[in-house]
Amino acid sequence: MIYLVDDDASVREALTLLLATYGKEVTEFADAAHLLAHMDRSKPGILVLDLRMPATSGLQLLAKLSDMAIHWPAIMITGHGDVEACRRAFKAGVTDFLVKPVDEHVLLDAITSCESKLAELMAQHETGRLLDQLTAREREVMDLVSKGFGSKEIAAALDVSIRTVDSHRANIAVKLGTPAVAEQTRIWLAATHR
Amino acid sequence: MGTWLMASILAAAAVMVVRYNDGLSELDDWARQTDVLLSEKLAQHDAHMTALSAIIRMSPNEPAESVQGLAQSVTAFYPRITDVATIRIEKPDAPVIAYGGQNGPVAAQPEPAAELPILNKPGDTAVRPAANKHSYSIYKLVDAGRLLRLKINAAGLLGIDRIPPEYSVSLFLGEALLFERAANAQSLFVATTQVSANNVGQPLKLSIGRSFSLSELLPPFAIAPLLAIVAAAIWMVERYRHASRERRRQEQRAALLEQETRLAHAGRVNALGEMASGIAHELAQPVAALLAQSQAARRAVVINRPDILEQTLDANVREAKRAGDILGRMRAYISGADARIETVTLEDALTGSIHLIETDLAQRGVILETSLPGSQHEVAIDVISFQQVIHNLIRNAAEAMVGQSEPRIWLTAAFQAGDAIITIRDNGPGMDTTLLDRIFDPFFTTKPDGMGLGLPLCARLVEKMDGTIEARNDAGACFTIRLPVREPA
Repeated sequence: MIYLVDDDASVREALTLLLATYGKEVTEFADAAHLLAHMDRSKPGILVLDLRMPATSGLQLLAKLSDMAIHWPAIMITGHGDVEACRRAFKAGVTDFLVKPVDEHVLLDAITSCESKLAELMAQHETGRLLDQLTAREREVMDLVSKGFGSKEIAAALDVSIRTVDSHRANIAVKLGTPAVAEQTRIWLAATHR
Repeated sequence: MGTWLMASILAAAAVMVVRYNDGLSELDDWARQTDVLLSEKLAQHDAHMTALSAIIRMSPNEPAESVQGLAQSVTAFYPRITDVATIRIEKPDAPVIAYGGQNGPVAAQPEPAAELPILNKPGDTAVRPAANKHSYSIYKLVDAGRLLRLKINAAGLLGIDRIPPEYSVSLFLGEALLFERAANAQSLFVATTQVSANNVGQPLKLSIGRSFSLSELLPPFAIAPLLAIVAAAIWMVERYRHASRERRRQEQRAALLEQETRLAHAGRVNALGEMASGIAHELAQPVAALLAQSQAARRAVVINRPDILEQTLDANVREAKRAGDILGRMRAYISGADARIETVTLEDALTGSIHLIETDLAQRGVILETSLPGSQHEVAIDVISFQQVIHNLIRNAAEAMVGQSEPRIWLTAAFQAGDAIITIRDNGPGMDTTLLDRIFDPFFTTKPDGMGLGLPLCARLVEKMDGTIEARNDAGACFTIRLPVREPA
């Protein structure tokens, strides 16, 4: 999903249509207030924001979203981009900064970048959700598992029996959806090394 | 008038000075001439005295025929010498024998010896003024016991008839006034010069005065044309000065005008610089739309969606026109092009404006209430400019009310006293009253991204149509435009 915010109706219409021809789904908003009022934060998407808008600029909107702990990938577009605006945009974490008129390939490349970022974000989100199910003890065990220790060593380190450790590892395998240590480690690292 | 008076007085004074100097040198001439004449005459007296005393010395017995003969010729030729006499110094009365008369020497009234001058040696002389007789006597000691006396009529010394009547003449012997003639003319003032005949024995002093009359100093025949010339000169100078002043004023005005034009142009060029970012932003919108629509169209062909193709072409036409409008406005602003005045009904012009903004307002959720006059009054306006002004004002109002509940704009138009009055009012926060008088200044803006050119441009466009624009607060912000009405033909 692409969230497009631009105060110019024609630009919104044109970009929406163009992206639609590439099969992209776009939701458009005339200003920041509309986006904030109508967005569904459970459905992360790509933000395409006009920099210069009355009331709330694209950068201000990004800051507001950041305050709400929403860090979706964003593309800033502007009718008149200067270096300072560009610097501030990247500092605010945008994936790309594009100057109108925006060529479709440039825009699609930027959106592709955002899509991979979004996928990463979603994956992180998913792994985070999986790890959230683990108990504190299970996390301790998983941390040591990800560092390459066997059950025996873990039992010694945590001063518990090997049976207890194996029981924790069985629970971890169920909660993370895989008995493979390699896969468990990947999920663990993805969630803890963001 | 003051100048004329001053100049006339100066000119008259100059004439007076010239005439006065002339008079003074004339006076000097007369004084010198009279002095020379006087000296000659006094010298003659000396010569007569010498000759007579020689004859008398040779004539111990008086009366003597020889003395009578010489005395007679002297008195005959020199009528001013009124009396030739010998005085035998005896006390108490000195007998006097008068010579020169027709009837020979006669014994005359004796003089009191006490009043005779005391002379010590033969040849010594003395002079005595005769009281109230305009004459004086010269005494000369001829020999021991005899004096020669000549009486001189002072009037005869000066050739007074030669001296012009405007001169006053006085002749003194010591302090005694021997002769006086007053000037006959009415005098404004008198210049006097004193000369003393260079004769030791007869220390006469001559005083000649020159009286100046007004008519002499300022002769009308000279003054009248002079004043006329002065007046003419002053008039010409004034005219020249007026002309040069006028010329200078016109030059200044032309220079000022040129400067203003230059300034206005510079202002516009500056404005253009400041405007560049705004224009870029504004122009970027339709161009961005054009590009996206065109690329969408190409994609439509690829993905075989002719419906999209048609839609994009329509959009492109619209966007290209929009870009053209922006360029046209920019061109008009830069070139300062004159308004293209057309005569249209106010209602048509306003309806056009409203159509342009309706969609935008609807998207913003702003309600526009209009009250149009309905009459067929016509206004002389540049329709494009007018619509831009209305568009800007409504858009400003809408932007001021972002985030506000029930944003509303009232557009009313009415005719009043030969003017069309259009008001645009909103229920927004209104304008900061301390900034109200600056809102039409270029580059003054309260918007973070504003250029500060919207309202100045509106004011400029309205003024070009001979109208006025005012801003005030009336609940929200309220803008009033007045435009001259063209009565229906």
